Order: sequence, then structure tokens, then C-alpha cells
Amino acid sequence: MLSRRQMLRTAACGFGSVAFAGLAAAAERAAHHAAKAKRVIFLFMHGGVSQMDSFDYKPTLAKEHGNPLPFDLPGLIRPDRLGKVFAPKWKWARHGGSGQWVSELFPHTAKVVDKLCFLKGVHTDGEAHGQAVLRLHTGEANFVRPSVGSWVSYGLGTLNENLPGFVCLDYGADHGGERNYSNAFLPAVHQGTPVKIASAPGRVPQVRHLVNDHLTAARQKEQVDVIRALGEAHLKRAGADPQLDGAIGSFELAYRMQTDAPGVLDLSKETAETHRLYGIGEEPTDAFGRQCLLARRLCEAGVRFVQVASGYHWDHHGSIEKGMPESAARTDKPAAALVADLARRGLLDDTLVLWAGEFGRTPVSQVDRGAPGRDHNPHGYTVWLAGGGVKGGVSHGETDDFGYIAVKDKVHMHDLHATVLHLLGLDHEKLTYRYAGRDFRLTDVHGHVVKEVLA
Amino acid sequence: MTRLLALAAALALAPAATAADPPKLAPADEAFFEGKVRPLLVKHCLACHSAADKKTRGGLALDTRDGWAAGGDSGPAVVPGEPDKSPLVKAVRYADESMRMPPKGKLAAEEIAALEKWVAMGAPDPRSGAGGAKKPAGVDVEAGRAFWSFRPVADPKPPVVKDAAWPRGDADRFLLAAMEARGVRPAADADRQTLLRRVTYDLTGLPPTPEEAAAFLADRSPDALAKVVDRLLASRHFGEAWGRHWLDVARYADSNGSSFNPPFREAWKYRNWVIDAVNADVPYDRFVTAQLAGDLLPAASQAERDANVVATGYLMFGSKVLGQFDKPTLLLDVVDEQLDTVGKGLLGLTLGCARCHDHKFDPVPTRDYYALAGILSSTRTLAGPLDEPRADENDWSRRGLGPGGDEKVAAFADADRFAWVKAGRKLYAARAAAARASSPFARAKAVAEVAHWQKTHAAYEAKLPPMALAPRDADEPADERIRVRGVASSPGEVVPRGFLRVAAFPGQPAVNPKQSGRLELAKWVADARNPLTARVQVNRVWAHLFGEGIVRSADNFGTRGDPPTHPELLDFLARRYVEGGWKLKPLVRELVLSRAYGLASAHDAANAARDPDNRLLWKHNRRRLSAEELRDSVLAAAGTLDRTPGTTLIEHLPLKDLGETDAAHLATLRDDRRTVYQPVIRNLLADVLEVFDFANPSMTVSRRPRTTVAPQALYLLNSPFVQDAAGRAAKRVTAAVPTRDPAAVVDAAFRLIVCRDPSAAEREVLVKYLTAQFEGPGTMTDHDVAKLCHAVLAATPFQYLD
Repeated sequence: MLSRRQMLRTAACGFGSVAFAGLAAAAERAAHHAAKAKRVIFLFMHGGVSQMDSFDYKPTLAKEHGNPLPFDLPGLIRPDRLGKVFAPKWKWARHGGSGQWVSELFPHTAKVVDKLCFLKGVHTDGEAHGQAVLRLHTGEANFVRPSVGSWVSYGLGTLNENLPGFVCLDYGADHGGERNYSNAFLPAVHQGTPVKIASAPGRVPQVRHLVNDHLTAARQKEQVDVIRALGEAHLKRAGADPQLDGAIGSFELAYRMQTDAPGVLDLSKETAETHRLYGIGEEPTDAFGRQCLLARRLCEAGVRFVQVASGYHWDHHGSIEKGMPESAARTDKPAAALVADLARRGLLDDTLVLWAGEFGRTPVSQVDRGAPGRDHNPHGYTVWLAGGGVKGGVSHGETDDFGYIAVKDKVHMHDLHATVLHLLGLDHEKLTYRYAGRDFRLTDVHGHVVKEVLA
Repeated sequence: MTRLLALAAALALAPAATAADPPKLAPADEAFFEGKVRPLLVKHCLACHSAADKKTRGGLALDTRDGWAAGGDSGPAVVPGEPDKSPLVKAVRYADESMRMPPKGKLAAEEIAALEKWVAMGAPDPRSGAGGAKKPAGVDVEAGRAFWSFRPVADPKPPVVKDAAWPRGDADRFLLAAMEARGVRPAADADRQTLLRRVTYDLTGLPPTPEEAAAFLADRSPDALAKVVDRLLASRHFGEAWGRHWLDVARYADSNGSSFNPPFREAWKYRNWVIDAVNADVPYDRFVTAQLAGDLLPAASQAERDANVVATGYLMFGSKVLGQFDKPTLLLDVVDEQLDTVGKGLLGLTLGCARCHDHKFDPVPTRDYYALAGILSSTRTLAGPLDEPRADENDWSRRGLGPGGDEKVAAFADADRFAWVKAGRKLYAARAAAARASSPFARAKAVAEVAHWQKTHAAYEAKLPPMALAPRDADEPADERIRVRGVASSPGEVVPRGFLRVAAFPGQPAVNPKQSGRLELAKWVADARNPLTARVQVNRVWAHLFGEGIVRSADNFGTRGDPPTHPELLDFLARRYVEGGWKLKPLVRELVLSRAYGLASAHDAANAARDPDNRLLWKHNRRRLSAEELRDSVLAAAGTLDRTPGTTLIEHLPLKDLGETDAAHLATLRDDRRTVYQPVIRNLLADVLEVFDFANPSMTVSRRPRTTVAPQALYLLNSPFVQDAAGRAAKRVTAAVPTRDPAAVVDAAFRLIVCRDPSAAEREVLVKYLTAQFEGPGTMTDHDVAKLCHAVLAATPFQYLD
């Protein structure tokens, strides 16, 4: 395995070595086994989606509504704010050829269920958002560790020399902030590049410092040229220095990004039909629709890992009956559109879509917020995967009859990570990075690939 | 009775017997094992617990009898005949939340019953094989002491060199001897302009002024450089630059970060304490002792006591998961983070591994980890809830300053703390609402709201006693229990508080059982006989001046770290450092006045062929300006750098989670003082810090990453900060060159930004660029010069120190 510095040293001098470094170094590590997926789109449902109101159908809840839970609460520190069993009020039906249960709040997702793989016995650690969000994104909450996307970028590199390998859309500063897309101790080239779109003015994609409204394009080219000339004079004086070489190359790459990225970020290049499919231009789907469409465009342009923050609106402690339909309506159509759109473009086969929140919610009501809601629940919940080498139209894993605790075919967060890496051709036990004298892994000492869902 | 004795004898002999000769089972036992147990183990357990497949999670193998008999990290898995005492049975029963097997789902009732029955039968198992999980032999601490970094610091003599004229000091002799042995010739000396720029940045983080450059070039006396060095060491800016190096190690920040990110209002007092201590050249042993246990030290005055308390902020800066519901785990996590910081920062060791198991590579057994952990778990870092008695987030410990300070803080906490936190949040929110208000009516309402909360908040602020972020000893200090696999809820054996046995020395302090033991820990760390402390610190100083440490893995002196390139030199420097009173400034002075420090950074193909990594230091390592140096220098070029010391800029921030919505407000708080005085808000770092490899403030950092990535170029090209500074610098240049002669303008801009004259090649390139920017013939505008300055600010001669 070559270090970045060695790479720069051995790469041909001059322009291009920076872009090259990430790719070639990754090629050295690539593929522990044949990959099913080349790229990942991770739709992060921030706040924690109620499994009982979405995909984990539990008829027992209707029967037991208003009764006390027949077993002890699993390890919650705040039992005082939890009440009785609380049944979802939505209609449920089986959908698709596979007959997956979906609540009426997700009519669009219902149409693509034959492409989805539901994991219904997922569990994690951490009953507070921050811990669970950090664990979902980095596998760890107490220490700074590289995020999943950074590991993937480190493992596989980018597919496009002019764009970063890992992009995150609309990640905020809360619940760990940049740690959720941080490279930590991995080389900085593997850090997630933040792009704002849903949270940007006019919902026009923004990359920090990408635009120069100070100089015309021609003038900026002259400026980049003179910076390069000064660098080359410096390099000549120095004899040889990979750092200077890299610095000169970084300006070339920056300039190319500045030239190329706006085209990728420009959603107006898509047809009106596609905009409609994603729910762009209508509410409440416009924001998430744009995010999902941009994610697809970035993937097409060669980005390995795109993670999309839905916005922190799933945290329905109070008033789940009002909040849940709203959150579902914002995300259902765009997420389903993404799956359908990837499929019709032939991209779903090698693109893995992961739809997940940081935890699920309780089947008993939370009673301290006026209208009834549901509290955090890391003990059992549902996520779905699509494409990229996972079976479609299946459900794997179960919670108990109340939907509270994963009891069968459980999938821990570390297992989910191991599975994502596996689909990308990476062995989670072999993808390591030596830091402070230790070989670190995304899954630490844990993780099992969920082999049952591999296509 | 006879039977019982026979059974006891058989049991006592069992391990020996199994190794040599597998027990012959009764046919019924064998049938039961083969029919019920083996298939179950294969189906549910062996994927993770098989010695044959080299998968022994938790150290446990279940594919041989020896495997379960020896057991894993938590001891033997099966106690024959005792299902209720067998961890394996407990695990499959899912009784204990921390140990449920198989992890994917509980076995069927009949499967559990089969295992219970099998154990009750005495666990008959025909499977032999030496393939039982290899029990780690345990850490051999005594053998570990043979490793170089745990040996006492030696007393090497500077070697004799062939070229006796080359060395200027003893360090040079060590370096030259190594070069001579490898047939490598040192590079030429750097030119004086390069050397001045290098030493000025290295010692103060700032560029030399044009006057300083002119004075140095004019001073042809042999001690011209020494005079410069003495001036720089005496400058307050020395402490700002070298204090910042320490703040990296101390993972200093002005907010908690992590998942709940309130500001650390009083953190700046620690930061300024560090800067002052470096400037006063407080000996490193005292510097460390104050940070680990300043509150337990005797003090001659209130001022000294307060400074000592402020220093203990070192233990407080961990990024904590304050909202962790599981408070016992939170406490253990806090201790773990402190040990990680102390281990890497002070001892050059990764201790964290030993939380869960004996360190796999270094001679640090789990016992030693919990011996240290007991000291820190006898120290209170956290306080109760931050707001509302029922809130989830913990507060952190504070200590009062001034006479009776602790009592005043306690009284305030009891009476007013929650109300004060609330008022601060309300005021902050009201101000934000007032700024957003669009209609006159809304504005009037918001202004009234602000006035109300301002008054309320001011009343509490007036009562707020002066305080510092600082820990205290627990009311009842106690030894800690080993936690099996590091899980808070799996307590094991109690371990007396103490230190690492591998670095123990005769006559080391013993923990006072009535206190936490921090004072003794500090004395143990900061002792001349501790083999690690001085080596680690001297190495770090070396790395800051030469680009790489003598031990390149500056925070890992363990077996997985890099061995020293010049072991005798390291010991020579460490010994002299301690003998000279642990003082930083004389060490820095000696090193920067060495011949080696003053070498040119130019490449040499012959040397590079022999030593491509420059481990022999045959040339100086070129380095890029740090994030702080970059920002400070850009401000200096713009003429806007405020060189006065800073205090706090975040006093008004409420104790709330700082997030995205606060980013814009936080950006307005920065002033034009040096970067070290700007608040470090975790999760919301200033762009320039984030982009240019600032030390991650949530972890202890001995060596910052060194990256060359496109976002840095984008920042330099397109950030308003650089654009604005280029405009200001241009005005200074044109003011100095009223003729606006292009060559003179280029020279002035280059001198202002790069602190030297441009070379002929550089001048030619820049004059051509500048004149190409003119919009009309021969008319040079400030805007043209701004573009010139911008290009120079972005280019490598400014970005790098040769």
C-alpha cells in the first residue's frame, strides 16, 4: 500500500498528480472480492423513523392499544415519560409481487417494494440522537473515527478525477456535525465534501469557495497560470519536492472542479418529467427531491458515496399523528423516484441505496408533550436497502409482536456497515488503516455481513 | 466419599489429560453431543468462535474442548455440571444484556435446553485438538521493559566526527556522524533571508517585518542569528506559537462538540495560561503537574492557586457525549478519553486498547489501565444535569477562582444555575428573533423581549462568581474495577490505583488513598526517572523545528511506533533537558542555532538515493505554513493584524447546543487578533482552520495532517477573506510605490508578503502578469495590484517555508 506521499513522489511530476493520488492509491487496495455495488447513496432519515408507522406491520398494536406493555421497557433511562401501547392509525396493505407490508403513509415507496430489501431487526447503541447518529455514520460515538463514506473513498477512490469521491448533501453541525462525514485520521482527500442544496438560498447547489464572482473566467485562468509559474520556479529552485508538486497540481484540480462541477450540480439539465418524478417544484417534496436527484447526478459523474441528510424532522416525540404523515410526505416520493430512476437508467444494479435513520421509535406513547408521540428506540427498527447486489422484495429480521425489540435475524449497526462494505467488494476486517500504532476498522472488532440478503 | 475424591482428582487432572488424550465418552454422552450439541455449535457459534478458522471473537473458540475450557476474555465458557455458572448458558439465555449470544437472535427454547442439559451432564465433548483458542500468555511487563522507550534514558556522549569543522553544537555531531556513516553529505547552508523567515515563523508563527529583515541582513556579526533568536524567544509571540503546539496535544476547544455542543465559556483562561506558561518558560515538569493536579498542589498565593486550578482544564476538554443516557458508561468514557489524552500526549502510548483487553502490542495490561482509570474515576469531571433538573445533558465541573471560590460556585449552582442557563438561552434567542424581525410590530415585540431577558440575565451574571473549567477530587476516591471487555456494566476484579508497571521506577510515588491520586500520577509522569516523559516532549520540540521527530510517530513510543532515527541524540537531548530544569527556551535556542537547522532545503539526487525520506536530516524539511500562520500572515500583509493578546469572544453565548443556525453568528465573533485567540468551536470550525489541516480539536494531536487538496486551492483563489486581504495589501503596496513602476510594485508586493526580494524569474513572471491586467494602456489600478497580491498570497513561495 502506498502512502499519499510516496504516491506523489513516484507519480510523474506536475499537473494531475493530486487527482491521481486518491485513485491510484485506492487501486492498490481495491476489491477484496468481486464487488456488486460501485457506489452508494445513503438517504439519512435524521431524527429516527417510527418503524411501526412505516414498514414494520404489527397488528398486535391495534389489539393492545391503551394497554400497558406486557414486558419491561428495555433499558430506557426515562420510563417516566412513556405511557401505554399506542397503535398507528394508518391503513396497511401488502404491495408488489413480493407482498411487502407498507403503511398508507408511503404510497410511492409501496410501488417500488419489489426492489427493496427491508431489514426489520436492526438495532444500535445509544438512546440519544448524537450517539446514534455518530454510530450510524462512523461506528463510534466517544472517539473521532472516519465516517463510512471516508472508508469507502479510502478503499475505492473516486471514479472521476475532477470530483471528490465522497459528497454529503445538507449535513448540519448538530449531532456530531462534521464528524458524520469526517475522514478523522484517514488522508484528508477522503473527507466528505459538503454541498448545500435543500438549505441553500433558492435551493441552488452550493460548494464552498467554488465560485469566483471576483474575476472573469479568463482573468482567473491567468491568475491560476501565474500561480503555477511561481510554483514551477520554486520547484526548479528546490530541485524536487512532492509537496510543491502537489500544491501546483491542487490549483489545476481546483480550477477543473470549478469548471466541471457546476455542470454536474445543475439540475436544470434534467427533463421536466424527471423533475416531476422526484417531486421537484411541488411541496412538500421539492427539497428532498432536489437532494435525491443531485445524488443521482453526482453518482453518475463518478462520486463513490453520496450521503443525503433528510433534514431533522423525524423526531416525533409529540404529535406523531401529525408529524409522521408530514415527514413521510416530504420524503416518500423522492426516495421512491430515486430507486425507480436508477433502475430505468440501468444504474440500480451497481448502485446501493441505503435508507436509514439513527434509530427507531417506541411502540408505547410518549406522554409528556401534549399530543402523543413516540420516544427513541435503538433496540429494534427498520431500514431498507435497494440495488447494488441486495435481494429485492424481501424482508429480513423481525421485532417482537409490539415492534419494540429486534428478536430474529438481528442486524446491528456494525453489521450494516460490514454489509455495505461487502457489497462494494471490501472486507470489513481487511479494510484497515494504521493510526497511532493500531490498525483501525470501520467495524472496530465487530460486524457480520448479512449474507442472507445478498442477491 | 471415595467417588467424590476420585471426581475431584479427575477434575484437577482434567486439563492435563485433555491436552494429551481426549476423554473417552460414554456412548450415550457421545450420542447426545453429536446429535444435539455439535450441530447447534456448528450452526450458531463456530462462524465466530472457531480456532480452526482463526475466528475467535472475544478470544473464545468453541470448536474444541480446550477452547471452551480455557475460555475467552471473560474466562472459561463452560463450567461442567453447572449450567447456571456457565457463561455460555447465560449468554444463550439472553439473561445479561451485555452478553447475549448468538447476537443475531435468541436460540429456540429446545436448543437452549439442549445446551443446558449438556452442561449439566458435565459437558462431554470428544473434540480434541491443540487448536483451542490460544490464551494470551498475559502481558509480560518485565520483558516489556527491555523495549528501548521503557529503558532508562541513557547518557550518551556526542560522537567524534570526521569533518570536525562542520558541527556547531552537539546535536550536529550526532547528526553528522550518522550522515558520515551512510555516505551522505549535508546540504549547503540556507541563505540568510530564508533562514530569517524560517526561524521567525518557527518561533513566533509570524513573518519577519521588513525592518527586521533589513536589520538582520545588515548585521554581519557572527552572533547575528543568536541575537534574532533571543529577540524571538523573548517575544510574547513565542508563547502564542508554542502554546498553540501544546493546545493541539491538549485537544483544546471552546465548546464540547460531539452530539451536544455547548460553549466552554471559561476555556480561554486555560489557553492563556498555557501561552503565559510557555512565555515564562515554566519547567515542563511543573507545567504537566499543574495540568494534572494543580488543584492539589500547595500554593503560596491566591493567584498561584487560581492559576493551578485553571491549568487542570487540561483534563476537561474531552469531547463528551453529555447526553448519554447510560451514565455509568458516560463516566467510563470520560475516563477513557482522559487516559487516551494523557497516554498519547504525555507518555507517547496508546492506552485505550487496554480498556477491553491486555494491550496486544505494548506491555500495558488491562490491570494497569484500570489502575490509572481509578485515579481519574476518583476525579469529578462531570456535574449533574446542565439545565432543568430532568434534562438529559450533563454539565461539567467548574471550580471557583479567588478567595472562597469553590463555595461561591457551589452556592451559585444550588441557587441560580438553572435559571441562569435558561436566561442566557432566552436572551440569545430573543436577540436572534429581533435581528430577524421584519415588521415594525414584530421588532418592537422582540426588542421588549430582549430587554426583559437582558435584565434577568444580567442579574444572574452579576452573581456569577469567577470560575474555571476544572475538575475536583471525588468525595470518596476509590479504586476501580476491571470492566470485562470495557463494558461499564460488567465489573470484574478491583485494581488498586497506580501507574504503568512497565514504566515504573524505584521510589516512585504511591497513591494517597484519601485523594484521587492525580497528584501522585503527576509526580510519576513528571519525574526525571520516568523513561517516557522527557523523551516524548523533547521529540515533539524537535519535530516542530525539523519537520519530523527523531521518533516520527510522536504520540506512539510503543512497539508499533517508529523507532528513533537517532536514539542516542534523543537520549542526549532528553537528559540535558531534564538536567537543565525541563526548560523549553534553552532547548529551542540550542536547536535553532545548530548547523543542521540552518541547512538549505534543496533537493540532492545523490543524498536522496541513499536516504529518500531525509531521515538523516541532510537537508532542512520544507513545510507549509500552518492554518494559523497562514491566516495571521494574510492579516499581516493586509496590515490589519491585531497583535495584542485576546481573552474571550464567546462570553455572551448561552450554554446551549451550538449548531448550524449559529454558524453565521459565530463567524461575526472573530476579530483580527491572532488565530490562537479565536474561539475553537467544535463542529463549526472556521473554514481556514478546517481546510488547512488544523489539529482536530476533539482528539489529542502530536502531528497535524499534511495534505495538499483542491479545497485549499479553492480557498486561496475564491475565499472573500483572501480576496479582501489582497485588496488591502495592494493599497499598502501602491502607497509605498507612488511611481507605480511595475517592477518596483512587484518587488514591494513580494517583500511585503514573502519577506524577501523576488528572484529574477519570479519578477519576470509577475511583471508580465501585472501589466497584462491593465485595462487601458499603462494605467495601473489598485485592483490590478490586488490581483498581483492575490497571486503572490496563493503561490508556493508564500505558502511554504524553505
